Amino acid sequence: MTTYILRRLLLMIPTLFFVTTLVFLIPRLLPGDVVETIIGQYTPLTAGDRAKIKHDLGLDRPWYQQYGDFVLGAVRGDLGNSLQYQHPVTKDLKQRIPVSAELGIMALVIGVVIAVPVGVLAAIRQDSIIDYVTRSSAIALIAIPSFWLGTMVVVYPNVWWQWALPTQYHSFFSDPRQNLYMMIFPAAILGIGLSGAIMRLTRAEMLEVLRQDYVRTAWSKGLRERTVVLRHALRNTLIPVTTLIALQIPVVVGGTVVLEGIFSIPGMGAYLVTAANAKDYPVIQAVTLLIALVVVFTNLAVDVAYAYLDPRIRYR
Amino acid sequence: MSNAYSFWDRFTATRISRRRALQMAAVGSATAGAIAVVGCGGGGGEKTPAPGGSPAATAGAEKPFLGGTLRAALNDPQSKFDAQKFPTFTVQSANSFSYSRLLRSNSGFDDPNTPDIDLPAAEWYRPVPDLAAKYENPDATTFIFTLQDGAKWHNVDPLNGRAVTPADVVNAWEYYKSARPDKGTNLASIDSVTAVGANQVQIKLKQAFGPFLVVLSSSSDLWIYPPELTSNPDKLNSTMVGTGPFVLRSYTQGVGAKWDKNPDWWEKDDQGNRVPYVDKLDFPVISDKNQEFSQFTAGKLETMTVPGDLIGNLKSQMPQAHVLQSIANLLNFMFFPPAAYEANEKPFNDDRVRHAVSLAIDRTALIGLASGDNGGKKHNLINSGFLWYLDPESSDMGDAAQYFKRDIQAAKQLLSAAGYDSLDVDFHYTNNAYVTAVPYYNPVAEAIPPMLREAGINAKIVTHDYQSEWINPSGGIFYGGLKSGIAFSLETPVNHPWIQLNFEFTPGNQRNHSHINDSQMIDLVKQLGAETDFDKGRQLAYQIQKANGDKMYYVPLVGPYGFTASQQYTRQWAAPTSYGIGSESTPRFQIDTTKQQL
Repeated sequence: MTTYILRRLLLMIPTLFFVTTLVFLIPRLLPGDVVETIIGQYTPLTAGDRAKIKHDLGLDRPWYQQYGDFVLGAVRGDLGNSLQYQHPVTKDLKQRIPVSAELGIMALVIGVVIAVPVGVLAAIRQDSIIDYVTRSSAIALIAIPSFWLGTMVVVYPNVWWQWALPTQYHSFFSDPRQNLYMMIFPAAILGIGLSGAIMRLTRAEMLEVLRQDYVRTAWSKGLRERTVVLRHALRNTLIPVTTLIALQIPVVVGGTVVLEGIFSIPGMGAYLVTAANAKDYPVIQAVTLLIALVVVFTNLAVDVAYAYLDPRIRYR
Repeated sequence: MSNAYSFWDRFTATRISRRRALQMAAVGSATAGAIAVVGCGGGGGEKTPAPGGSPAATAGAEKPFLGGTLRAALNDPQSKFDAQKFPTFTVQSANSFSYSRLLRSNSGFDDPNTPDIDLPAAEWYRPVPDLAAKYENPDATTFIFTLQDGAKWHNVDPLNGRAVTPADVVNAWEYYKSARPDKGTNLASIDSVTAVGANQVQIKLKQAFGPFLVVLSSSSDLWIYPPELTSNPDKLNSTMVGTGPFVLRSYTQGVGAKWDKNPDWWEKDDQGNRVPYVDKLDFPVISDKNQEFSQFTAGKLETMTVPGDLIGNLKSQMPQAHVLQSIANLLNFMFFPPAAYEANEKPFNDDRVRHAVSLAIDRTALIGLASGDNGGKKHNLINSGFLWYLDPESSDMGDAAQYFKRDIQAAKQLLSAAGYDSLDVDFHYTNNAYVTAVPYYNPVAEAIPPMLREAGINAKIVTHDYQSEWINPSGGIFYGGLKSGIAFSLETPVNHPWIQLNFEFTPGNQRNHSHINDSQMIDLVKQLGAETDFDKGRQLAYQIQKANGDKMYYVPLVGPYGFTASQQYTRQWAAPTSYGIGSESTPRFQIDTTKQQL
């Protein structure tokens, strides 16, 4: 297992190299000059002003030098200074990562808690009303975009009951009650969106597993349905489901970008949007690199989890 | 007092209907989507009027409600508090709570207990005392300002409540000159600023400048920052310690800002109550308009600007809410490439083609589109939300009035007379700047090309990034970089027409969008700048609007009604009239705390 993990870690290097290169280059291909963005709309700059600002920001050096600094800095945990705010990106990230992480984790938990039991139920009651309702609901949940659902959650409770969500963010540690009150709605919206796909896969996998010989054997031994499903079938069902959950991480990240705006949550999504509008390269690079790292490490974690979930799997 | 003020005094006895006043006022709502704070300004007709003291206001208000927390959505200044280096509306609005200017703009309010708005027409944008309690101008180029007695900086590090000195004002002026990206065009008439004695500041002008006091009172220009912050740019951008009516308690980028009232602020109402009336301000960042609307209707915000398409919902959900209808002091217009005038480049070098463009526009339809069918007015070059506006279809416009009515046949005839059966042009606008702040901008932009096509002007939409392609000072379309076709844009609100017209017609000015160099226009603008009599100034503004209509250098479009709402339990509220709402409107805002939900 250790060898496997080490090999996977080494394989991450080209992946991250590719990601960092893209992350570095793409913002620089956007039209316009970051200098204007930083200085503001009213500044008539001379060529000298522009050159000085670019020099101060290190933007006058060859791209490969800038890239090298970015990579070396990232390795050291230095993600550079925000061009807009003129302070280290890590300072903002320290505040914003926990916010988005909390939202994402809550969404995943909600999604899984809804999807797995319902998917299992749909499978063991195949072609019943429960199954039909579950399958239809799953498709609907996949089809409904989270930003639309978010807007509906903002608008309709207000129209019906003059009720509005909180908009003053409090960290979990300063005020857990207010924090959860604010986060639960966007997390539920994201989680419900995720649950559709997980639910469908859980149902399909469970149906397949239930047709396996060892499950038939379990039935023939006279075991109770609960024991057959939960102890014998579910564990094998969860292997591909776990993979799918990991693959939902980028979906969660994308969802937070939109929902953080709607629900006034000061997380990474809102930060990334602001940075993208301002062409704040270091922030865009840092946030996307971070997202890439989360995805890459999540995939590794999932693969490692296989071994735990399925004793037949052995890594070499 | 000043000659410059004579025009104001003549109007102080004239009260106008609420509708009329609102049509003339209000920068706010849509313009800035500025912090939706509203309140009162008022003002008397004396030579040095006490700000915010309109008699009707006091009578209507009786005993003011004291205390409470005013909650409204914040347009996040994004950790930039230096309004000299970053003179954007978000920064200026945030500054206005914590900092002062020497003078500030008068601000209107609406007492719901009275049928008419309690502010005479000419009071809008009237300069009233701020850090300067009074001033004299012994001659046309000398102004001596006396600072408020006992004025102190906020009792916060690093100022810790020290007294304000004239040297602070001189320092702020020096900082303005050095930091201001546009080199201080609006106050270029100032020759020197010097401290005089213990509490006076003398400003000498290079030559007489009629709108000087109005420009000085503008929230776009001279903010009084302390030397302790101007000497430390990081500090100046990360905090606000001023002399304004509110003391910044906390600010978190992306989350919101909170202020406490400044107990040492100099201003009192007619009954001797210290203002601000409210104890605290609590402004969360809410970037989603539906979310803001929900917060307001749930009673969690005291005020908000309401988009036209939501006003019906608001009235049905909250019939008791105060709703103020106004046309924003904001011009939307089209302009043509500089090469049309500099190089006589076809086709827009021909005023018949420019008139054809104007004739092709269905302004009535655009008003309906922009206002959510709530109505509005056709703009002239001075927008229809501003005091100096001339109705483009009035007889004062002469023959030019015809170009503001849609007439496809006439447009085609003009094109034909100019030698064109049809034209293929690009239609440029920026599609990523005003989605929230001016929500009607993009829909109007998209509606114009089909109108032009009906007249044979085959306009193809070309969209632009705001920062890099529109307002990029080095070649952005807004700053004279239009190579061909037609551009559709907005003009920053101003509190005196000279500011805008000087931009638009002075050769070499960054905001002379089409590099117009017309001696008639230049002369008229110069005359307006030198004029100190209101009536004569207004006539000049009318002449400039008419002359523009004759030549159609700029094609003015439409002013839709916008809406500002406040809760039933609030008093002395108004549409914000400038980005200086923190000291202009907010101090007199009142909340009946017994009915407020917290």
